[in-house]
Amino acid sequence: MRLYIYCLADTLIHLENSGNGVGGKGVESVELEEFVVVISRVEEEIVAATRETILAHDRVVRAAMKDTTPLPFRFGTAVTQESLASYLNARRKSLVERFAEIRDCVEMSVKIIRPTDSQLDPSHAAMSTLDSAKPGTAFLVAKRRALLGEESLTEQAGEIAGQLSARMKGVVKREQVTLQPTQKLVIAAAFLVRRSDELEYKRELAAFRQERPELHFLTSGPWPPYSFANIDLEFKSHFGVS
Amino acid sequence: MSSPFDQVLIGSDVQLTDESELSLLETLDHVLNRGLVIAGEITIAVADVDLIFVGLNVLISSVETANEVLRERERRGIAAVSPAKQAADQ
Amino acid sequence: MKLPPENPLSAEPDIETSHTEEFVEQLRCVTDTLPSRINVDPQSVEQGLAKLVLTLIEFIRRLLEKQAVRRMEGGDLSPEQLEDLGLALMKLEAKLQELKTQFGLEDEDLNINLGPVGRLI
Repeated sequence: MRLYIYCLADTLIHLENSGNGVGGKGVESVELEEFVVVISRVEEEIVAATRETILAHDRVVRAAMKDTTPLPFRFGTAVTQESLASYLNARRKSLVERFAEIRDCVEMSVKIIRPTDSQLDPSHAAMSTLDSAKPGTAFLVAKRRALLGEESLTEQAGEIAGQLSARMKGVVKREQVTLQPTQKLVIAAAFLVRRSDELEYKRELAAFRQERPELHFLTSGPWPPYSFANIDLEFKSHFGVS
Repeated sequence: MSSPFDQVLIGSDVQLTDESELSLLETLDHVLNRGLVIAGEITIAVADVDLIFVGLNVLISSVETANEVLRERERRGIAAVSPAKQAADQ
Repeated sequence: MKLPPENPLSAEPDIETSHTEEFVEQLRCVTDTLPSRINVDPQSVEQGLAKLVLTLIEFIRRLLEKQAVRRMEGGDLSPEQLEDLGLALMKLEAKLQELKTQFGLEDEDLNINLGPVGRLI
């Protein structure tokens, strides 16, 4: 018997419609280690990702948002009560910090597609002093061209992301922006927004969209704060990556 | 290797409209890529970070197992050299 | 006592875009790079290790290429040195491609998602 975990809360939660969890299972809120966990009791260790289970997971976390801002769990966590208890105990301090940060906030998402291809500046292309008839040299010349193209794309993506961040700075509490300069979907941004700021956030975002008609936007939200839940950002400092 | 997205569609009998599909994909992006994780538990595979952690634990035992297998083969006189190495040695 | 939030979330996410198909296409790509499950049978653990090792080598290989291009731009290499360097890197690229094929890995498989840190490559 395992517990499938939807989310964690630091206050009591009242769940109304308790029969619509993953696999149609009942959803309960249980007090554990001074926290409240929202769970379904399941037999399986591994939960398949189907349309129904994915949507059920999000639906339950959303329902929990009615009473408080919970820390959402990633889809698919089915563990024993002992594991969960020991996890909560071990991470107590980090979890409490997380709750403080996300209190009364929601997550808003912005994804941006840059549809046009950038033009490579022709003056970059030439390295005419080199003998490109030779295979090794030709290889390097081609690589250079590709790298310059990539650098240019990265610069552009960075510029858009920078402008978005600057624009939204006043209305968001925290942001998490991912760049994929060589893809069409260049920017995926998650913003932690106070509920009270939601309207202003939407206004600023709408204004930004207007100013950048060449970009294609997808905005979604409000979401439970999935992107701001993870306390294992210690991974980042272990590897010294900034 | 099938992607989880295939799995997701297969589970559903209904042909999704573009809007439904988008909604599902956006939801997937939120619940599968983020949220709290209890490291060390084998759950549905998602971010490759888990694969590395879990993989490392399991790796230790499979290296031991691999060594056992090699020792056993040597003992029985069966060559345990890869074809590539054999070619390079010649 | 904590006060409840003012606006409960709707049961489904609110999503807005003028380019549904485009985003569907792009988000599918993102989902495709996720592994479908963690298997602990030996074969896929081997593949998992291969993936990790090859990704690191690939990462280093790209760094080497970048360095080589910079040296080339700097003009302090003789034509012979440049040619040798280029050939060596060409072979390295080809070798890595061969290894990928041997382990049944695609280019996308080697781009490990480090979570909040982003992708390795």
